[in-house]
Amino acid sequence: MQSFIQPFNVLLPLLYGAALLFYVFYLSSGSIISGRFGQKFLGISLAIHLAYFIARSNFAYFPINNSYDSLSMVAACIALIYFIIERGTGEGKTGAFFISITFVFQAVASMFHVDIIEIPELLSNPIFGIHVFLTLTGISALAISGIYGLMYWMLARQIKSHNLGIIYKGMPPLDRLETMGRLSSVLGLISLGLGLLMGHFYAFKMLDTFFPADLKIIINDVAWLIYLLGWIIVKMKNYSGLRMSKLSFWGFIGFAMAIMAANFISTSFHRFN
Amino acid sequence: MSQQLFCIGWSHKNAPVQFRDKAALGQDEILAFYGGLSTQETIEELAVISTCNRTEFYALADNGTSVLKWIDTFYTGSLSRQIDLKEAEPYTLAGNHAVDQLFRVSAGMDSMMLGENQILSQVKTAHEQLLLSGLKSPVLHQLFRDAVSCGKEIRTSTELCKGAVSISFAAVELAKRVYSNFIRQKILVVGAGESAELTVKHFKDCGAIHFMVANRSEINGKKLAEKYQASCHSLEEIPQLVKEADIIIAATHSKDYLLTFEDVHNSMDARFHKNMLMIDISTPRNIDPQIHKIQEVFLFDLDHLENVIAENLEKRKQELSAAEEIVQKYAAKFQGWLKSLEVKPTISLLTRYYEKVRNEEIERYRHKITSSELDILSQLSKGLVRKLLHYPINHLKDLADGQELDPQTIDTIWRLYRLEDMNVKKDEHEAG
Repeated sequence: MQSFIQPFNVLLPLLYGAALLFYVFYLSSGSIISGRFGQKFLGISLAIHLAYFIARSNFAYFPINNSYDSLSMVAACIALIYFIIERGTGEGKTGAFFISITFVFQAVASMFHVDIIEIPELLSNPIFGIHVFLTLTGISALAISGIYGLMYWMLARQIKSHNLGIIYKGMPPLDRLETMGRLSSVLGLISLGLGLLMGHFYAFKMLDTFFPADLKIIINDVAWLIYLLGWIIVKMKNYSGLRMSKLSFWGFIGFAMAIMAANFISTSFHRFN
Repeated sequence: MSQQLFCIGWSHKNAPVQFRDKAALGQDEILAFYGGLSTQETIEELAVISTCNRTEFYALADNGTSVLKWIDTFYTGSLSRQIDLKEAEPYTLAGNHAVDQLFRVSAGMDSMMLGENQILSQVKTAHEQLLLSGLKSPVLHQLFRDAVSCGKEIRTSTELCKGAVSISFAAVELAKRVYSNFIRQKILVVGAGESAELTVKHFKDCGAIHFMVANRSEINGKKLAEKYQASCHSLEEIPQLVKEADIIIAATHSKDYLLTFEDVHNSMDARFHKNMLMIDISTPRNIDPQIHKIQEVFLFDLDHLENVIAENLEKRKQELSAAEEIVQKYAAKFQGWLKSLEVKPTISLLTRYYEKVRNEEIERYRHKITSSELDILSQLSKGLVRKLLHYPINHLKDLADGQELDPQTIDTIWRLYRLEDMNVKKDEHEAG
């Protein structure tokens, strides 16, 4: 198995690295061709990443057997969300920021890759696998939305202070950043919502109850609901611009804090090795 | 005497605007110049570029003085236009300098506003006019073709023409950092003067369609509004219009603030705290600077825009050396092409070279042999030279006739026999 996986461990960081280089060049020079190459390389990287997961799973279990597998999964989720956003908005100037995270995560995951010794039974359940994938994708999307909020905030500050520096020149226009952030938060809410739902299904299957009395689950559900509520209020009140960007940023910070708190308080659930 | 390229003209560098206005030529007048060329023997080819900032004549002629004299006569005679050459002496550039000039002009390197874009289309138009004239101008056609290519390459591979260098363009560029396009944005223009119109025009060129014009004079306001399918309003309506507008441009000569802090602050709830870009290009300012304190408002005045322009101009200046390299590349290519046409001078110099070698060798033996032997030797060497040159010269002529002669071939011959030295000596001899 190790010998079959090894080429992926070399190829994936190389492909993400190539995509990153094109995105960096696009950001610094504005070369449209470079931006297109970045997107193409990212698409290829994602396809190869999917092939890697299939190879790693051996069609028998969900491929997150250790921390480095999880890191690789998060890298793929970030890349996937960014890829969808770029395809949806046609804007590739922020690629360098997100693909750099993907590149670092995948490089570390590939570097410290370990062969599978023991496969927990939990990972063999497809519902659990989908739950993990959707949850990770959802959290990644909310994080990306938060980062877009921060980017907006910084660019707006720079324009407001008439300091038309590096951020001003490299970033997409404010309204485009806002659109990208909104799209990301919608993807995050849907994906995370479905992920949590799958988690509840899994709990029902294992524990015979949809709502197990687990603090971590409660905190996660509540955090998602608060984020959703915030999103609905923003939509109803027609918030936009700086207010929206600040809400995206602080919304994610709040969500991340809630998850961290949940992990700190309750460490029993979700542990399988 | 062989013909060469000349550029004779006036631009912002050597002539005041009054003179440039007098020298400027319309399309019909340019065609009249081309028509007048048929009576000229000293000018082989002619092309004219005439814009608001320059009028330049490119000619393939025997000498620049006769071209200038003819231009002067044509202005006063056929065009009945009195231009006093003493008022603004034209520049006369010859050979390489004339070629470089057109390439620099098409790149915007010689423009009043460094790197301006309009000049390239003006050079293209000048070339089209030349084509339409029906005059046989192979050299100038090639020159203009190369000039357009050179201008395009400089625009794509350098930053010489990037960044706004006018107030109205700078305003549009700023707006592009806030809004990715202007299709949905409502633009309120306060004022209906020249600056306001120019800014509206630039926004329209960039895709804006929703304009509102607020002006003190209803007549002028309506005139501008009709031109750009905008709604027309009075200044009193501004507080109401602010609630709808995404971009506000103030360009009037009013001495008071036409947009106050209260107007904008009170409109924020109604506009759901959406971003608002305000550009004040009036002197004195028409937008209360306190408005800048409102979080959602991005306010720029003339000073800010001028800083942007100064920065962009500085960047353009830094690109001049890169642009000059491209100009020289194209100039070398053109000169190579021009040289490929020079088969006759090459043959003449080649013959001269062989004759020189023959004479030098005869001289070496002059005192060692009798006069009759010298005659025989002379005849023998002449025959040898003739035979040695027969095939190369015929081959060159055939290539030239079949238009297969490339610059490299000529260049190789010139290098092999150092014909440049021969050419210089020939010129010195003729001059002496």
